[in-house]
Amino acid sequence: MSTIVASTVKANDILESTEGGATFFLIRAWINWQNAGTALLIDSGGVSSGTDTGTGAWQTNFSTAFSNALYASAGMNGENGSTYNNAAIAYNTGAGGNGTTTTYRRCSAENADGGYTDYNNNNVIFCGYQ
Amino acid sequence: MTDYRVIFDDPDSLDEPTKVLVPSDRWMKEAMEGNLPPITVFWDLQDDEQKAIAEGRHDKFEHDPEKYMKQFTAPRIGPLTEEEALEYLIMKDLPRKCWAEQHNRPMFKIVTKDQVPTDRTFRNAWELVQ
Repeated sequence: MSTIVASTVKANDILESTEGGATFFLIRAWINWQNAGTALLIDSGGVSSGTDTGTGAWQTNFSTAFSNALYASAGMNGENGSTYNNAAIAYNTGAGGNGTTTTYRRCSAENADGGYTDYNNNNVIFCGYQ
Repeated sequence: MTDYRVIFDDPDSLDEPTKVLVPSDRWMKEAMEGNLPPITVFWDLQDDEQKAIAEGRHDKFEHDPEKYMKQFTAPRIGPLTEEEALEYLIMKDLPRKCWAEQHNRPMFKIVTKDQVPTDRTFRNAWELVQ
C-alpha cells in the first residue's frame, strides 16, 4: 500500500491505485444549498453559483465544465428538527439539454408526498470526468 | 461574502418563475485573486454544447479536448474587482440571450440580497419588476 501526500491535487488529475489497477475518482463539485427564505449558497466546492429557479428547485453552476453531461450526482436534504423523513432530491435529465449540461445541473427537492419543497439544506455531490 | 444577487428571466422560458442567482463566495474569491481563464473559454464550450443539443446528439456529446483543457491551461486574466467578477459570472452562468440580445425589457437586474423577498409564498409566480 502506498500513501499520497499532497497539498493540492489538480482537477484534471486521476488518481490511480498501484495495486490492482483500480482507478479512484474524485468528487468534482459539491453544494450545500438553502432554498427556503432568501435562497442561500451555504457552501460549495467547484461551484461558481447557485440559482433559485422556483419552489423546491435550483440549478448548480459549475466553476469548471465537465467533459460530457453524463456525470453522476447524489444528494440529501433536511432541516433542523425535520419531520420530512422521506425527502428526496431529483434532477432534470433535460431532454434537449434543458435541465443538465456540462456546465450546470437543475435539481429539485420533494417531500414524502411528492410536492416540491423549500428545504434549508440541500446537499449534492457531483462526480464525473472533468 | 458578496451581498449581490442577480435576478433574471430566461427569454426562452418566460413562463418559468423569475430566477435568483447567488454567487459562490469561494468562486468570487478566486475571481478577485485573478485565477480565471478568459470568458471566451466558457463561451466556446457552451457554443459547442448548444450546437450538439440543437442537432440532437447531446447524449453522446464530448467536449473537444483542446478547448476543454483551456479551462486549466489558458493564461489567467488577472484580478477582478467585485463588480467585474459579477459581470464575468453573469456572462458565464446566465443564459446568453439574457444579456447579449436586446429585448423590450431588461431580462436581468443586479440587486442586493436585502432586495430579494424572504416570503416564498407564491414563489413560482415571482416576476421581475421593471
